[in-house]
Amino acid sequence: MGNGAWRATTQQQAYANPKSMIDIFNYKTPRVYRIYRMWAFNNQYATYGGALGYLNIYRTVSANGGWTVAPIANDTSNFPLNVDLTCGTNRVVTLGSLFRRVGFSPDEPAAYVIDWDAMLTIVAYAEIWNAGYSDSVVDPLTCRANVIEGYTIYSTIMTTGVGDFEIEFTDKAT
Amino acid sequence: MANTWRVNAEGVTLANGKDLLDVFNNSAARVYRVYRMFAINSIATAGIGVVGYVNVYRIITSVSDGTDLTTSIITHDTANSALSANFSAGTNRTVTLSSLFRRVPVSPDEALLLTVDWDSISTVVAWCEIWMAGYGSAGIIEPLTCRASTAEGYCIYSTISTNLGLDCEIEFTDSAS
Repeated sequence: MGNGAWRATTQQQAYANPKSMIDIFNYKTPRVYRIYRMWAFNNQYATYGGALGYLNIYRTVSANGGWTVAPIANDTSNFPLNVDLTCGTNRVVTLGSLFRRVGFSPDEPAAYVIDWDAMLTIVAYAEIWNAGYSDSVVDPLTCRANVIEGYTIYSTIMTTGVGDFEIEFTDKAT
Repeated sequence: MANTWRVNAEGVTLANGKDLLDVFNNSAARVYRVYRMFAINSIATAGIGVVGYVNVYRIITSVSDGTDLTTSIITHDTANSALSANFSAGTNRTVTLSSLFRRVPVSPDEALLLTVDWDSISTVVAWCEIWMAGYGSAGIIEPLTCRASTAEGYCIYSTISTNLGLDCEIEFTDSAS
């Protein structure tokens, strides 16, 4: 298909208030990156004292520190990503526009129970962003070529719980 | 792809007969197409929930008063050209309702840990999408459309009386034709 699809994913990230759980950032590469989907999974088995809060989707204008998340190609024949396109977790980000906030229950799901915690382990329900998906007319969230910008899933949840996070994006020349 | 934009408002307090979020084309020469609308129950603090309706309406003639959110409209792509000055978005504006496209019962109440109920289900984004006409059917099903040089728009309109709020979003495109 030649879409150059990639995925940044990180597991068992501890929540904090505030914290960039995962982000993608284009530091002026000549490529265009389009974010199609984001997920937040309530994947945890240990007992935690859950606390309700928000996950927020922001555009970012800087990203530093933290830990690197190495994106994975959906197709191993994809060309490597430009070195100035980076993904990370727990990075210090400068927030731009807020696109959405999502109420979230970061608490462990339990066997024999269907509750909010369990519901957020279901892939379809953990999808917190899919603008532009399956519709060629609607622009996905976009990192423009030669522009410093990115996107983050940003926690304002104070809890000892953890979660798994994904950002799915494409790498294109235009 | 078309230039895509989004306006969102967080914690908009509900009321009976209130424009929660609207977009309005005051006869700009551009065409605006509304692809999706969301009403998300992002309430984390205790309140007294009341079940009621949010409604998707076409609005006509003019909008006035309330809070103008035009400067809060966010582009999906920072390379997009600026919106026409005759296009606006707002909340709690005085709107003239025209056709009712849909009404959706919602439960604006705080979701609780260890519970699955209407309140918590209404935090799941996939279930908060109250409008997506035309989505995934480019070229076949028309989205809700604000025609060029016509005074019309669309709004998420509350007929619920409660002091709780919802997060609302409208996703739209800006095209020459």
